[in-house]
Amino acid sequence: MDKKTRKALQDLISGFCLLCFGLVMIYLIIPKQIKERSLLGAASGTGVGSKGFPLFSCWIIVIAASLLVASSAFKLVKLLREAKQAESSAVEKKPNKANWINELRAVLLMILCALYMLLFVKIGYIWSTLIVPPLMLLLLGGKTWKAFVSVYGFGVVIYVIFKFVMKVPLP
Amino acid sequence: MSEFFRVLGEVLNLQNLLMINIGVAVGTIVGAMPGLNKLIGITLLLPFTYKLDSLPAIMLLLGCYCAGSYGGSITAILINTPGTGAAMPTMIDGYPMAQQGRAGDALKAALVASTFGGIFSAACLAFLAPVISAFAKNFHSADYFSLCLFGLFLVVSISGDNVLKGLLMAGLGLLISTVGIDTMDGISRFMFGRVELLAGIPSICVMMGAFAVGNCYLKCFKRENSTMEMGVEYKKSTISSFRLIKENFFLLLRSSAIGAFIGAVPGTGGAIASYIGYNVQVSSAKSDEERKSYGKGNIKGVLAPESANNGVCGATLIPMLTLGIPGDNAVAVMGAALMLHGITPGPALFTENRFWVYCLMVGLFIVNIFMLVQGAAFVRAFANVARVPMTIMIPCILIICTVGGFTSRQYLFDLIIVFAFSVLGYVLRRCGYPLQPMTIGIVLGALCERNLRRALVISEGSISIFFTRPISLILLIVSFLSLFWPTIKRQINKRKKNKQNVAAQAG
Repeated sequence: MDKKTRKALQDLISGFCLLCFGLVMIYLIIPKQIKERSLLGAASGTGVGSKGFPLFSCWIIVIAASLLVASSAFKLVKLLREAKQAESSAVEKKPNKANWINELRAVLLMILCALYMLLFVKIGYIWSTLIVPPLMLLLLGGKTWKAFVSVYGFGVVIYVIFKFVMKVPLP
Repeated sequence: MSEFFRVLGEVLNLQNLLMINIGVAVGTIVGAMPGLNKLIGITLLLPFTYKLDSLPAIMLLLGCYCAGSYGGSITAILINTPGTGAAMPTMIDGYPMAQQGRAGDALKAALVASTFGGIFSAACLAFLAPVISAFAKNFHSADYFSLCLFGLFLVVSISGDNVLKGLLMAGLGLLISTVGIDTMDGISRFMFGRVELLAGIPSICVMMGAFAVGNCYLKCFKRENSTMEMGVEYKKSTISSFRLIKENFFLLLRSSAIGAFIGAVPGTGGAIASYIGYNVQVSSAKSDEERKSYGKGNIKGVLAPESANNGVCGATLIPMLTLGIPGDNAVAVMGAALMLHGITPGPALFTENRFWVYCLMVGLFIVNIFMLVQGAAFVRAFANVARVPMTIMIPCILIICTVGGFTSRQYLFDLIIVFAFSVLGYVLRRCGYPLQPMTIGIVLGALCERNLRRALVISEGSISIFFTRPISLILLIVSFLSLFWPTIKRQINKRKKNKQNVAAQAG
């Protein structure tokens, strides 16, 4: 799959997800989460109630997502047709392994970030900063002692600023 | 005038000056670091302002905001890598100058031009903002709603190659702004039983997550590392700042005016201004020889884009302070920070809180002066700090965002918001969705809704009110034109190309 086709497919999928999100918001979440009182808002006949603006925003999402889905589907069909015509001369491409590794690195960083936030609240700033940032450095390839010292040093500076200068309680 | 001197006295105290200097240093460094920018700089500095008084807090952020525009030029000149998109035109002549052994001259030219542009822009803010705010006082709710749409659509139209994606993000931003208690009716919206959401989703946490943390994931995915070697030898400048200004006064004035004009239009920014500033300078060359000298180390090629780039700074604050409409992401974060400290931008600011308006204006002038002082003294140190690799920067950014996200209200829930938006920001950026309309939508949402509802209450539910008032009608027409203009332009270009192809084939 070439770059253009992959982009069109990506647009189609993301557009479809956002379209579903907009529709779920309009028909399921807004009616359940916003209960207007009968004497106020839209029911009073003088204007828009509490539901009005969220609905307005959701309809922007639904309309834009529908147009995005339609345009990317049209583009995708066109690109696939062109690719089929050129199929005989095309060379089978191997899936890009490096891309998957990078994707995995980003996901691992997300996990480490979530872990740091969780440990920050559960075991406190000092211990969480001692444990997680070095793991991030290992993941990112910063294995020199300078990198470790810099990050720990930065952690100490932040602790001193928040705890003693700004007097903000840290967990 | 007496109020001006009172404000000057307030701003010129030791704590404020210290904050300005810290802000300028941080702004210059984040501006110089490829991959980081003033928006991330302001976002990272926000947690440090929670316990500060409003005035030093605003001075800190203002320092970072202004110096962030200048910082990009340092690495553009010394390392041939622009710290920000706006420093790209500076690189065209700045790096050849450095290669010729004139790095000091190029850096001084960038610094002097940035300061000149910044001060010019601050003057524009001081003179134009009160006029615009006086005009805005006559705005009706319907006009205001149309103005919000105008600001939003303008950002959507230039935020990426796909208008639909920008529109989607704007809708998402507006939707996010509705979470919490509806201030008009007192009804809870999208709270899912969480009391932490009573006041809505904290926009600071959203921005920290989507921009700062999300950017770290993106850097990790792209394996970006800013470890760069300085390929040129640094030699001190031989030109005096005074001589630079004297010899190029008209050039600096014109480029700063270009920057200020572009900056005052919501949705534009430093990058557009510096490109236009550079192009105007090149096209105004008096001889062929002069024209050919651009790109080969002409000092005017550094002065023009840098003064235009910093000419934007004060001017972008004009729509923000007078109308409450943020022109770009960084200004939107500035707006959120002002609100965090109890200062609500808009026409009322000029009548009810004039003190803060003067503080911002005076602050801008002082920031630019300190930018000149710091730039002259520490430019080499800034260039060295800017070369800290991303492998070290990423854990540091995550530490600040975690501490900052938690300490704003001491809720674990806020950290969940930071994390959720970091993932959302990463996924959206990977799929090519621009985040700028979302940020502007979040900041503008409440203003937009309040005026829409007020207007409809006045008109008893009839939307004709938006089309019968001249200001509102004009703004709506311009909004929709700006929204569809990129598509119309693309179709016109396509047709032109087709016609040319047909003519070429026939020929």
